[in-house]
Amino acid sequence: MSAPLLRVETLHVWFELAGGGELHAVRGIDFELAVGERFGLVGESGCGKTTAILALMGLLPPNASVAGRVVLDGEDILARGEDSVSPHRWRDIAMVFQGAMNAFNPVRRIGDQIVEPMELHRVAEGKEAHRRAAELLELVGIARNRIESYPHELSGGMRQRAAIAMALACKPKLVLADEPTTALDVMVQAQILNLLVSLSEELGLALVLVTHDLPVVAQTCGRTAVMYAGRIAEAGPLDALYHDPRHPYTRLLFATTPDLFEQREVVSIPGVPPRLDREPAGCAFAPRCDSAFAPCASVTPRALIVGDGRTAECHLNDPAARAAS
Amino acid sequence: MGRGDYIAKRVGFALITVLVAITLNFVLFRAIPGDAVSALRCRQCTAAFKEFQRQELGLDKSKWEQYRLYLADLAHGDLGRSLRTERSVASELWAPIRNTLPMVALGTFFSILLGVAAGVVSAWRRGTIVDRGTLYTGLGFYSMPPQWLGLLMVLYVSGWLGLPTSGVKDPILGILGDASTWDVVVDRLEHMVLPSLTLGLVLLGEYALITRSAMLETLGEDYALTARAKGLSNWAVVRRHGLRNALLPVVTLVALSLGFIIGGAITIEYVFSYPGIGLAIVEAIDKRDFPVLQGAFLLLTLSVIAFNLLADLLYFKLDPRVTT
Repeated sequence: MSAPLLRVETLHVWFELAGGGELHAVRGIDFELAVGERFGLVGESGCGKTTAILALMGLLPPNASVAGRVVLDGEDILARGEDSVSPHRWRDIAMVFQGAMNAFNPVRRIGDQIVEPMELHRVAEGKEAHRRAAELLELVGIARNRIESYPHELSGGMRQRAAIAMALACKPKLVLADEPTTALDVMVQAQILNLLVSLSEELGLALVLVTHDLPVVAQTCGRTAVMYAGRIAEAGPLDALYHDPRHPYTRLLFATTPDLFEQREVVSIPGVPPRLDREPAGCAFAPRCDSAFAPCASVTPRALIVGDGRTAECHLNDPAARAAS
Repeated sequence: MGRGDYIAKRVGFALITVLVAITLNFVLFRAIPGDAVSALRCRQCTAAFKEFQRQELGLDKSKWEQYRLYLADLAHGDLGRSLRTERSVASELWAPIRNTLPMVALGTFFSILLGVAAGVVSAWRRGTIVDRGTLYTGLGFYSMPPQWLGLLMVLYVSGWLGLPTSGVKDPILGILGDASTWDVVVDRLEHMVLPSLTLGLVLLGEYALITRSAMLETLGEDYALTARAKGLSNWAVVRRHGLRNALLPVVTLVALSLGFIIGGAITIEYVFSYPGIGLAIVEAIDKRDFPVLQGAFLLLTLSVIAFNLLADLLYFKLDPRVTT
């Protein structure tokens, strides 16, 4: 891979809890992203995926502390806190939020809110900025004159499109989309995902798609990371993960997704993810794992390369561990 | 329903409320036992004199006829005559209103300005010492009975600042030589400061607490996070995305409380013997001066309705979603 657009190195996030103690929400994750690449970040609720991408932009609440490096185009943007990250916000990395339906302030016009980051980052100003906002709306399939509308005058799907248009305002290199389609019905969801893919292809935009919904990733992304309990359990091309999972969690996660064409039972994974206010002993997934064996309960698995561009954190892939037990 | 209709609907609703209030004002004063004449408590009065008085006040007519006359008089701006001074109720109420309005306005202005500012800063600096300070000070003032706070002012603050504690003007001002306009204004202001401050502090606590919680709620919304992601500084998020949204509940509260304050400063005016509308009401009750009381009640009701209407219209201006 040529020089990556974004490299995340051993990213940790801790939350200080109100009652004392700490919650280690993201426990050291690494990933890289090439220019124009679409990357999926999958996992169940509470696995730390949203926390991880909020950390990338330095948007976590004050009770969070972050360690690790987030290197964008060779610059560690978290190195000097707010000072080093804020010039990149929206200018280089934009976001489409989980509740993107509510990404717009209800008392201000859509157009003004799209123009806001342009003027802030001096991308465009005044009439020029408004013209660009109208063009962006057109690009995502909304009539130009909607820049005069208030958010409540748009449907949910339209608001989501407008939120995407707003993300594109400063021609960012990377868009982080956090559950961008969760609140939408299936038809609108498909339209939004197609829109994201085509925009990424046309504009050479890199995309990180965060979701719990595997089919959504399948429609949009190439490389995918599966997160569990604040770590990346397995990463690689989605096809490979699907056909040849090298972590039991990945296998079980796919099995929980209904398949329209294949006759098979939809299963659920028993148990709940571990609490992260204390470090799990051994593999965090071991208590719920159907293939756990001796070392899983006590030894924390390391990330092993398990194929071309693939890594997995599971003792099953470690011949030494298997031999020892 | 269009936004244009909204204003018409609100104004129409306010007018209907005025009519209902006027009617209730009439009914209330006829529903209480006795009437203005029996309330005179005049032992020497002969039955004939009382009858004459009743005719004079129109109390011998049927209730419907009285209601009709009441409305007709009201339409001409005639609120009746004071039983005590025989002067018209309007002129009887005018002087206290002139005293109350600037005092209340000063206190409210002060409390809105400081209360909203304190609430915003407190939310912006959530969890810091500034926030906690505002929170506890606000709670303290909010939970204090105004008359008690007034007494504290009289006991401790007035001597310290050298401010008068009662009345609305210095009785000897202008007696020893002419007082300039400047002297009169200063004298009025000096008398106004303590009651205004008392009222202002009580309201300040309330406004600061409400602004703070409204602001915190707004800053927790998705669009506030989006605004931060856009690169706006925390303060810019507060100013550009928080303030207007957080002001919505504050507007309602201020308008509602203003409506009541016009008459609700009764306890404060009593403590400071400030001859405003509140004191006039107390006096009218004391002297069984029905027409004055009725006029004052009408005035208060109208001010509540007027400020409610104002809140509705402000809401309309602040929030594009408002259409009904």
